[in-house]
Amino acid sequence: MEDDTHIPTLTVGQTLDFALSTKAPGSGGRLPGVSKEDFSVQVRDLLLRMLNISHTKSTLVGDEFVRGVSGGERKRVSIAEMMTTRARVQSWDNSTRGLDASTALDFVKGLRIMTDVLGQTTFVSLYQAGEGIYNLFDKVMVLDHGRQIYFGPPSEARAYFEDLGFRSLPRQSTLDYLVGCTNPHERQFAPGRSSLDVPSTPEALEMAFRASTHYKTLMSDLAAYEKEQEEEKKDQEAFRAAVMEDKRKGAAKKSPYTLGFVGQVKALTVRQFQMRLQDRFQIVSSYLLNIWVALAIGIVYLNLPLTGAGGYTRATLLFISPLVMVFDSQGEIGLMMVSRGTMDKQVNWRANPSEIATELMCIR
Amino acid sequence: MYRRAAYPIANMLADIPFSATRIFIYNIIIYFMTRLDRTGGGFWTYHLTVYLIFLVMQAFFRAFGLIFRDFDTAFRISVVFFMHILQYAGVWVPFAAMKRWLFWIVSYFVGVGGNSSVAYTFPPQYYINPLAYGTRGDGSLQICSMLKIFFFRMGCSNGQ
Repeated sequence: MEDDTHIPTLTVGQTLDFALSTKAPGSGGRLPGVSKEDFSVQVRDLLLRMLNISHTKSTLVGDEFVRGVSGGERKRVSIAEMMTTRARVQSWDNSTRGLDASTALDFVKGLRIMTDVLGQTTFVSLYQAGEGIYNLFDKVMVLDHGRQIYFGPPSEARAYFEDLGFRSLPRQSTLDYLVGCTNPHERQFAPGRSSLDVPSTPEALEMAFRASTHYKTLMSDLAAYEKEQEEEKKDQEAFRAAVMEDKRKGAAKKSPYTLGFVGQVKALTVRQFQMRLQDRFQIVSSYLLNIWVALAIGIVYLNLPLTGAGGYTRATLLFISPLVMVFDSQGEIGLMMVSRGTMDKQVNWRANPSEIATELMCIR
Repeated sequence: MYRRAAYPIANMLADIPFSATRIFIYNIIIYFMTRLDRTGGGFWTYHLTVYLIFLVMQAFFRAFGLIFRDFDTAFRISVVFFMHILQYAGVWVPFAAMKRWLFWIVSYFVGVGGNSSVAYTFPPQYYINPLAYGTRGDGSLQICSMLKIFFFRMGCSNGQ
């Protein structure tokens, strides 16, 4: 997830309430005695506190045009929204774009908290991350032209590339150094070394990584995990059972949604209604416009005669009066475009059976 | 989080409280200013028809907004369809002047013959044109059209 696509005219609280109303677990997934509403309110307040944005609960989310919360806060709203889905594997693509250094750090800290608390797997790709951000991760992967040239603990990455013969510059952050090693124009070799005795093409770097101890550890970890998964079906069963229990009434067993279709319509209706109710300018202007147009038509066709003389005008009036409203509703095309991005994002947030399978392979 | 199909349905439901009151005010003003037939039946038939036309055409435009990804395409293509619906609603272009090969937009006429001078006889049946359903009505379903009702009532009140 790279951009913050939200409905700008909803408040932060409403945004999360909607997400929770489509994703809150059914009676099987909640503690006994906790209603759906209580559950949602508790989880929402918890998320807001955890990400330190409780004060924005009744502020509009906003965007480029609508005044709302700040950029960093909006990022955290995105995280909170993602957290409500309780997805077990998440990927974030360059999500700190446009954030200042301290907000970017806050954002990654939020991800770290989410990963630890919910026991999930999080993939993040970042540009220009500082040392503070870098050290929060469990594993770092360096890619060069699609080839994996390092995958292992962040603390050992610098030493690995120094051993290969790349020189690290003073005051250079680890991430910049790692990225620099893949760039022929940027990298520098250690004194006395050159491209002749240092692996410097993507292929050579990949070969070097495959020969390293990091790769061996990785492979043995992977083999151990796969063996464990084959012998211990318990985790998989538990995961399937948990997904089933979460389903609310009306959602089919095989459906990727937590909520049935009628429930989805209900949740969306509440959200759309809130959106319209908050758009006071639109309400007032549309009512005034309608009254104005009605008066205009009324004056043009004022007191039609009840004889045959009024026949033709009457037909015109009956045709024109609905027609004006139809022209008015033509603006709906534009409204549909506005909410398009948010819909595309939210429609894709579902658990696909194939995704569940992959996920079982990745959980560690 | 939800199916795409849930969105337009929810959107329409959420809009009804606003559009219903808006169109109601609009209809009251027009109806009583122009002194259309002042009976309960007359007014409610008028209101029902205008509101249904509004809802159907709103859904029509929203459909284009949902099918196409950019505003330009959606708007242009919706106008192509809308112009045909408008012209073949049976008001601008009289039935006799309509192109035979475009009748599927609005109607076909049942009962050819009988009257030798007129090839087509009423009542027409409507296919895909919501505006025509509203303004002319469907004789075969015994739903009286707005126009028919008003011409009929006008005749009655004139005679009294």
